[in-house]
Amino acid sequence: MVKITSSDNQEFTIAKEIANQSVLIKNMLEDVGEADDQPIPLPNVSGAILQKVIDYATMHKDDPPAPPEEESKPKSSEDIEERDKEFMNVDQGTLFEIILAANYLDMKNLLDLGCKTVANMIKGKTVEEIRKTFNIVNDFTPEEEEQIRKENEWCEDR
Amino acid sequence: MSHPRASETTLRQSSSSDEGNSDVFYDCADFEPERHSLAGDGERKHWGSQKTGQRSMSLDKSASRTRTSAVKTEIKRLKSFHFSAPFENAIFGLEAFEAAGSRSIAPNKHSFDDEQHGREKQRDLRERGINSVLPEEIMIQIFLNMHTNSKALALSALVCRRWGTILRDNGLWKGLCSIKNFSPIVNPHEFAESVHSPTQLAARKTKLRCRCISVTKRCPSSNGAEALVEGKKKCNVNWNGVSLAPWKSVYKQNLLTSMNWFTGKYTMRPLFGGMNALCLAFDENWAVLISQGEAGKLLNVKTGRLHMHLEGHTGIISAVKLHGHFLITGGVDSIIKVWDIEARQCLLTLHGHSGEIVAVQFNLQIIASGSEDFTVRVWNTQTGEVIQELRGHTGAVCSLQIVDQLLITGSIDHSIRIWDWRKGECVSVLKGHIGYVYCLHVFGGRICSGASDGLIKIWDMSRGGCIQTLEGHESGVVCLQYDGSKIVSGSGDYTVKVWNAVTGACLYTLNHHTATVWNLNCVGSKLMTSSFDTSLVVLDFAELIPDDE
Repeated sequence: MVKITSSDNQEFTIAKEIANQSVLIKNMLEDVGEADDQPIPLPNVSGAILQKVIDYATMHKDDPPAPPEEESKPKSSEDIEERDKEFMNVDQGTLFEIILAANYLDMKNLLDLGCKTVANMIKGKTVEEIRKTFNIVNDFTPEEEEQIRKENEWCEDR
Repeated sequence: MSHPRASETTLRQSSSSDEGNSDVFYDCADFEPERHSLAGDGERKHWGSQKTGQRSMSLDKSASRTRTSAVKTEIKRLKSFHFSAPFENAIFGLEAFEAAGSRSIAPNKHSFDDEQHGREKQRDLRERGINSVLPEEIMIQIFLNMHTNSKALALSALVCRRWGTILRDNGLWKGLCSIKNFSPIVNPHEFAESVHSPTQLAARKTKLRCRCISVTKRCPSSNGAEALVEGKKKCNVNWNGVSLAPWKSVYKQNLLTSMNWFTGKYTMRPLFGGMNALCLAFDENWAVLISQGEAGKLLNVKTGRLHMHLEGHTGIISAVKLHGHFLITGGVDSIIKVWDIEARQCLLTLHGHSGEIVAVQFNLQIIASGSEDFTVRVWNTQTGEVIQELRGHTGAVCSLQIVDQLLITGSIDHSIRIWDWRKGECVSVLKGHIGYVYCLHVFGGRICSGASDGLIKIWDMSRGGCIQTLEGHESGVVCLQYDGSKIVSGSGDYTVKVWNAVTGACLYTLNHHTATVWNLNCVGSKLMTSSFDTSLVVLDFAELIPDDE
């Protein structure tokens, strides 16, 4: 078992194969060695998010190892497993925090899943709908907007 | 441009610093083939520096616009029902978090009146929104996931300055190109032009260049890099001082080129003609020509010159496979020869078939051959020994392809067979054509076959069923190539047709040959076709990007 603590000092005790899904923790464990009983501090992840991340790692603990980089097919945001879709059915704040945590903990699959989820929130929307979805203020001048529109004309409707 | 004075100076400053940085970026980090991963240090640094430039911009902006009108409209939006349910959750979800978490910065919200509460929510959202939470590296990851939807990328660039800047990042477009297998289309006319450059030097240059292209499909050739650096120097600096990304141009050119395949926009040039010989097989470097009563010839496509005579077969060559500098020929004399093109010599001669060789395929491990004796033989490429003899077809085997441990064969007996060549077993038999299966091409778990019944069929390899039948050719389908999205087919009706492989619709018909189309080869942006009219023609679908972009 491995002990980890969140930024708000919540302590979690998890199985090693679950902890090892994070390359960061895996490397730390290898550096520190088995004997050390001290919990691993994760100052960049809050307890609530860490719980989500652990849930994800538990859900995927029996997954076959990922194929090497070269063989893996180009990723597309369309193919998300149903259970992962459900897992990512959270509010935006949580979603972004999970992505940041996955990035920090070096969990490629979870990071990919998060990025795909956000990509799917962008796809199929108009510019105004994207802004509304993410609460983004248009800070372009009309001239700039026109210029970018022209610049990208070629990739519309493809 | 109508920037307010103050921000204009800031913009200028940031633009000059950006430019300096991007120069370093292009020269040292970007174009080394070994370092084309997106998370290269050079790119990180680049982003880091750009971020500072951007911050100063957003400061300007927030002073002028954000706090006043924008916030007001946004609050209005909050009050009316514009927000979707998950968004409301976002707000309350965050509150719950912060109450439990260490970053408890939110004041007690119950003491505020409605408008203030709204504003508070608003600030909360702004502070924890996508742009303040997710760094550029992650935004890039998100945009990379949108490679199947170029329109979404175009629209995302219009969302705000930050997104617009990220969507001009060269590293992002390089990543997108890598996912889509896009490489620079150097000079679309070089290929055909070089045929007319007689000097030895020019020929050598072209050869070198073309080798670069063929070797480096995924990572760009040094030559392509030069073109890109040159392109970068020329490209205009505009908007907020970020110059257009050269890899974006590569993406654009490739995307438009792939569209040209669908719309039928191309330039056409005959390579050879009037040689009284049939061009049996060819790629961008070599062509094998045969004519009655003569030994086969191997021509250099770039120069149009004879490279070597293929002497040793009795009678004409009937099947050819070109593979890098290896050439495999099968003859009406039932023998197969393996040639080293560079050394101009025959490496191996394979005896064993008892009928004309109709099809050969090759990889570094095995050679597979189909013959009029109804059998398929699998040979060891290194030693020339027979590994397997596959029996089952009840007619000549006219077409075959090796896919890992599987071998797919098409025969005059109307069937397609899938074999496990290691075990020597037939895995399945696909029946549906009512004619000789002249040609087949496997891509992504699907077999595309063409037959003398004039039909093209697409089969699911694992389930074994026919998914689609494409009707249109008025005579047998002699040759075809399939890439998952389109099919190009040549026929005894003298035409070449291009099909949408997803819908099964014929996109257009090419009528440039005056006899049966014998073979075709899609090489990058080019389609090469040969016919019994003895010509070899190159169609180039490359989109020409003007220099000023």
